[in-house]
Amino acid sequence: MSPFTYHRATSTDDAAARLAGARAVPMGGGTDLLVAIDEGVVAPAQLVDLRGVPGADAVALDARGALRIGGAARVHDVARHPAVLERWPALAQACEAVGSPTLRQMGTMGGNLCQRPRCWYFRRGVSCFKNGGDECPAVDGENQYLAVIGGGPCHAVHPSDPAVALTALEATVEITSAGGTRTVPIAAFFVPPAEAPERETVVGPGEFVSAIGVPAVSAGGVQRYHKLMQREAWDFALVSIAAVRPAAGGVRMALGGVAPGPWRVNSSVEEDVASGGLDDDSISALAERALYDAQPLSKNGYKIEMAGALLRQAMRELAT
Amino acid sequence: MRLTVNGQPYDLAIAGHESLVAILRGRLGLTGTKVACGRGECGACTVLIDGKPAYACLTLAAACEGAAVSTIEGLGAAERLHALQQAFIAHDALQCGFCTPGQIMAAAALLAQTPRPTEAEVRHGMSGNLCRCGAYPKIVRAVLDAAQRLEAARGA
Repeated sequence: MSPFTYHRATSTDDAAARLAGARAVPMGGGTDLLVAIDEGVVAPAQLVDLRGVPGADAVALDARGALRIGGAARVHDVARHPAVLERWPALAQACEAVGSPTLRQMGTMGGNLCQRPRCWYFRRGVSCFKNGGDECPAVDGENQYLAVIGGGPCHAVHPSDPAVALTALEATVEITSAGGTRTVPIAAFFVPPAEAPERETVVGPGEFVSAIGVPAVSAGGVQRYHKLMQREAWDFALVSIAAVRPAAGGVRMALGGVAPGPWRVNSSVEEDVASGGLDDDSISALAERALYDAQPLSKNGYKIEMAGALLRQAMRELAT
Repeated sequence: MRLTVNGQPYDLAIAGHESLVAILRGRLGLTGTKVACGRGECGACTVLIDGKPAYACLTLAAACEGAAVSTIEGLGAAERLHALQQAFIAHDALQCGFCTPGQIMAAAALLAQTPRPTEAEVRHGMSGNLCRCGAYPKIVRAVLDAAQRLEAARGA
């Protein structure tokens, strides 16, 4: 591993000040970052560890019933948090689906959102849009795990499970730097590759995810997260889905593993699911409508079938 | 910096990029912790940090200042094996043994958090440790047996 220095931040201000330095990179559990450094994908001069910041790992309800998840909260602790299990079970299920038990206890929520895609061309240093190149080698190559919708010019998918649930729950992400704090809706947190293929999120140099907010209006009702993998544990999603019908009403669904970021299902489909009265035929038609603009690469057409199956299953679950 | 491993403090000069497993094996001679993949995909290097499981290959040693690191060497001694070590022997829960220290440390973390796990909970809780010899059925039986041994010891 190429040398870097390590600093354990003592406060949010300390973290922000350190991250203003050249080639300073924020670190949570390090479970993706240290691998990415080893692969040469990230080359920091200094890592700023956010786990020591007092309160950065807190998970707490506010007076209005919204949830605030500190950026350094461990994925495992969110998965097992009583309020999350009770009010936002889709998020608990998505967190429990991350990696392995050990990775969940090491990894932070902020780090999970900021992990880099696992496209093997990118991670093995093959020239591509993510590392400064001007072509996507996967288009004519091994693209079986890549995007079927919303891709191009880069077709890598984002590996986060919680991000898919947070999209369906219409969460917000709080981003902090030496210049202050801004809050963005999760739908604006992920950057489409057509806009900036070299990065996945709006988190820029000097910034870090300081918290995630989940609104009270997304709580309760029926919530599901399903993840299809090549094996039953410790794998990234081939396709996943978060589907919620919160107690306050409405239906929201998001797919993982199919697009460069979490893919929110078209609102007209969500509204038709919410209006109810669905039978098998209308469920199938809605699933097809949700995927109408999917365009498979040469080896990943199976993902469209998987996404359709998950959509149909989720719609039946939300109907009951 | 001061690194505390198995209750023993060590004062060491550690560079920011050095991994915990490199320090354990290369500087402290604690070679019970193994490295296979070196990228968090196998679990062979599992240790406990403040009682929680961690892959030592993806842990910076510098981040462990002030923490209590536990390795397989601290779990039991040759003349007084831990219940997990006894159960792994009794159930022949290994072939080559290379993954075993990591398996046992992951099991120790699981049983600390879930003292009476179901078989499903053992399978879920041990799913971050690969065994390329495929001893999984015996590993599951050994962990369940160790839970009973520990329960009996607590009751005694």
